[in-house]
Amino acid sequence: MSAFRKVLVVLVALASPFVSPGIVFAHSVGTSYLNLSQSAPDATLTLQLDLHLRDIELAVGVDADGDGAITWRELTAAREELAAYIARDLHVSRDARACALVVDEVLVDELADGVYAVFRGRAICESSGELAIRSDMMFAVDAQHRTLVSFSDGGPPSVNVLTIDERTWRAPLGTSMWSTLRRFIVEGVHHIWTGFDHLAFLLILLLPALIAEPAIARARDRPVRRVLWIITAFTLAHSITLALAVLGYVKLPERPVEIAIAISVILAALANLNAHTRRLGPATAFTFGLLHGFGFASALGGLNLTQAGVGTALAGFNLGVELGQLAIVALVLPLLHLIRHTRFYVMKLVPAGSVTVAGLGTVWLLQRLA
Amino acid sequence: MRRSAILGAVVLLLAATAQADPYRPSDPDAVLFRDDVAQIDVVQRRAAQEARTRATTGKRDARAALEAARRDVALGRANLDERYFGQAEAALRSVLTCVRLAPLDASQCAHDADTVDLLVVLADVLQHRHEFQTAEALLSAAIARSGAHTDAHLMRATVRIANGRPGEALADCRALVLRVDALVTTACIAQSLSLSGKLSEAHALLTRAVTDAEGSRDPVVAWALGILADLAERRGNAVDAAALARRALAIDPSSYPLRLQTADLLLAGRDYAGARDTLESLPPLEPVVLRRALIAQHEGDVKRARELTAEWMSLSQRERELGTPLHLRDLARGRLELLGDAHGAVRAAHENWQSQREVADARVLIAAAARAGRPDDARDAREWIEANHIEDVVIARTIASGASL
Repeated sequence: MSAFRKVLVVLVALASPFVSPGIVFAHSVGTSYLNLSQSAPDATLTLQLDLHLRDIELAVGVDADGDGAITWRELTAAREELAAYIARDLHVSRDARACALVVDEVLVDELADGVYAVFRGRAICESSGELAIRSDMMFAVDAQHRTLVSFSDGGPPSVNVLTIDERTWRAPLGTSMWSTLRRFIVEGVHHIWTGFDHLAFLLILLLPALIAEPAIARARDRPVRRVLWIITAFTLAHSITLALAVLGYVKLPERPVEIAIAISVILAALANLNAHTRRLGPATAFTFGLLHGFGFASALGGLNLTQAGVGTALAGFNLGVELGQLAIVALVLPLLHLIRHTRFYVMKLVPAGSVTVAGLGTVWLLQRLA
Repeated sequence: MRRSAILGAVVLLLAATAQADPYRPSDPDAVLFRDDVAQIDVVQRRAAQEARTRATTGKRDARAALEAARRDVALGRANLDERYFGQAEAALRSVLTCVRLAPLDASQCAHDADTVDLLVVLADVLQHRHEFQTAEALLSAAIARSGAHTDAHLMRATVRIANGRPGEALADCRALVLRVDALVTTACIAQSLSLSGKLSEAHALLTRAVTDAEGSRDPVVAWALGILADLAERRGNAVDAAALARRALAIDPSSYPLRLQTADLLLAGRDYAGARDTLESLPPLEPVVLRRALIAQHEGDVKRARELTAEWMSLSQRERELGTPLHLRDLARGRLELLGDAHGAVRAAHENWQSQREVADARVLIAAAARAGRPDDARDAREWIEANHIEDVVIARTIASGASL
């Protein structure tokens, strides 16, 4: 086969996404790890930098005899050269003043993707002020290299990924929790607003709650109180199961949960069609709310949640769900409250709405069973 | 992506430190690292390193950069190692200032490049990590300078097919006529036609071309057979499709994409042992582990399926945390079929659809949206199917099941 044909074969057989359902290779991109920490309120930060030996060989070249293998002797012989490389390409500053980087010892470590040289030392900086870290390491030889940076001043570490296009990171000072909280509140609102099954369930419980039935309508405000009970019961129940699921105490597969949620919508809607069962609001809301909490947990689980900040994320997501839910209720409830005494509301809207939602629930059920 | 990368990096760092038990070796001559590639091809590695050194440390040397980048791309593919693509890009950055711009400016690249080949290799690196739009712009710039550049036309055709634009891909395929092997041209044209409401014609055309090449051991034939297998599967001939893929693999057993395709076809045909055997020699790459987990799941081997699922999730998580290109179609498939996480699958499939629009991408998006009860999330895919008259029995079956369409 000619060289030209070889090129074509490579292009076609490997570059063609048509026949290559996702080539993710054995070795991911090159990665370095930089940990900076300050355990005491003095000026010195402790530093640990882990560099893959393959990357070191590529960037600095420590394989003195050129046999393709790196020994401990070769690594230690190149210690000064490596320290100079680090000093040249890694920049730590505090309060806009450069820190002096000192390598105290060189060790090795075996991580999942190979052997790393471990440089332990100190960064001698200003005692306070914003900490900025810039890395130019490896980019001249590997444009896709990643440096994972961690900084801790006694609390949970702040972390970031440095790339060739984003080489500098300014360590946040106590803002990470709020940004996490804000992000997950938005996610919670988004989920409840786009999770029509949850909204349908809640609204179908609220519809009959507003009917002022003579037998129990002793006070004008009783329906409103019932609505508040329903919302509280639903909120309490799904908060419990959401927390249990996210914290790993209870684990249910998503599909059966989604099927059960669809069934809950159908049952709640059908219950509205009977005068005896339609007043089960708060109890039904609580019972099935437990189930819906597992549904929320599935959504939260899909948001790349890690153990770090899980409490904040959980609180934010739950808060977002409640806010989203209250916004919808606040929008719909006044209107329904105005017409709740009308014949249209009792005889038409509640039954017709319930039948419609039962139909929707049936469609969701069939989809989820398919 | 970036926020999740930052958040998720905590886990990576903790994992790194958790495993960390740094030590000082007692034997100074203990080998700490050996470059496996060096053992495979010392000559090639040396040449690549020398070229890279010239490209990155010397003065502007376009020829050295091109040589280094080409070798790195070849080494990356041969060794299934992403790191070489980063090295190729680093070599190209040494001579193309445009690569340092964000976003990369294709017209600036065309101005920078001493040779069209530099643009094509850079496009290859970019399309490898699914930056299709920029890759296409570079290839267009290359073609504007050298209209007869067959590599550029062929690569642009594949990029356009990946983008769900078969009509434009067809124009590139036609530019190959009489310039390259007839089978390559025919396969390229058949791919495009199959996505333009002419699946049967495309199948017949490629069948004839492959029959003419009967007996050949040329990897081009294997590649064409792989495409034919795909067309056969879309027409509903699953058994024929699996047989074609196996024939292709017999011709080119080193082809990783063909191996995955064959395993998928056997998996779909419930030949789990065959699928397992097909993947046997492959290293534990993310797509391979995903398929092994699916096989174990279908075979009812719960323990093995659980182990492999955990391994796949770990690999998948690492890609996400590093903010590196992740194959979202496989991620969506894994979430849907392995984890039963329909909502997560929809998110991944939808994100994937923004850059990659092939039949397989439409399949997973439509199936995930249906399972999640959010059919509207697959509206884009449905509109693409209707606009291009896409024929595919799997999608048709999903529709017929009353899922959502």
